[in-house]
Amino acid sequence: MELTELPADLASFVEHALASGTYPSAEALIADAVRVLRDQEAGPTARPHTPDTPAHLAVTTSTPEDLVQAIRQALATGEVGQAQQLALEGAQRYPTHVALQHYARVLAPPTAHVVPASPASRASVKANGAWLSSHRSAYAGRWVALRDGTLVRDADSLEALVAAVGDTAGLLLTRVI
Amino acid sequence: MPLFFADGRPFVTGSQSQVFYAPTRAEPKARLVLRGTIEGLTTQAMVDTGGLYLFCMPSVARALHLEAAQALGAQTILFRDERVRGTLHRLTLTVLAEEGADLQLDVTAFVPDAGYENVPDLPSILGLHSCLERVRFAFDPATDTFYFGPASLAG
Repeated sequence: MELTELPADLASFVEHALASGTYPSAEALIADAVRVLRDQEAGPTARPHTPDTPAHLAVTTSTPEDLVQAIRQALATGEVGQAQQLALEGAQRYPTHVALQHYARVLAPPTAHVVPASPASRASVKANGAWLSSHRSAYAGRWVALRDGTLVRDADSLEALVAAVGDTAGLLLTRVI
Repeated sequence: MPLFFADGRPFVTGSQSQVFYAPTRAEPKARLVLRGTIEGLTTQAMVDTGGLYLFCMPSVARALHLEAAQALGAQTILFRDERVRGTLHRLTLTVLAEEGADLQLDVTAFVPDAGYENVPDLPSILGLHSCLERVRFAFDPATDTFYFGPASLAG
């Protein structure tokens, strides 16, 4: 069947979904496509189901699989906040569902913690900044390994740099831009 | 730290200088580039308040040997007008201080698939949503200093 033969909203849904790689399998895509058709049959009051408006599920009445699918679709359409909310609420409602727990862990809001820095670490951060500032043009485009404001090695790629220096502990590895 | 609220509470907990990168012919955009660690690898990352997630550059991701089993697969985001496929991970990022304390963040990170080698080899990118959104920050162009701290100093 050509996409042009489908209802406009379904054709748009299929086109976006295929292009974005939203679905892990054709079956998953078909399942959502059927849901779109059902919405359409329910009449003009049914909620539009397009990639720009992911399905908003009631967490309390949805299966874990429905929630996982809705999270995937929300991520694919850039509705990250919606995906995050569904994941967190879904994980709370289904605490033993592995996939929902995984989504909730990865998509959880960021956390921030203050960590004491040693005087040596602070001095190294400052010295590396000074080196990068004063050598920016000379090493532009190169990957460099710095230790306490001193150049240890440079290379044309991070892989080559790591191979050359071996142990990267205590080194700042960056491409100079 | 020299930045405080009116009641004396500190606004930030750490700072880093020499972060402003003026535009050049090769890199035509001005940037704020911070020194930090991603999963223990000390490197640099650029602030992008319009960005999403920590965008971990492919070369850095390869060096980190991230476990695919811990990722959410088959995600797509728009990067410089190109749809880039990759995976989402939960990573630990630390903004390093040259005054005050470091700031450790647990964030959502996007890692492009290995096939997207045309992603420019830039420092990784610190987006606002899902990365810097719980960080207080300020930049003083007069001293080229970036100030940072947790949104809640109790956290």
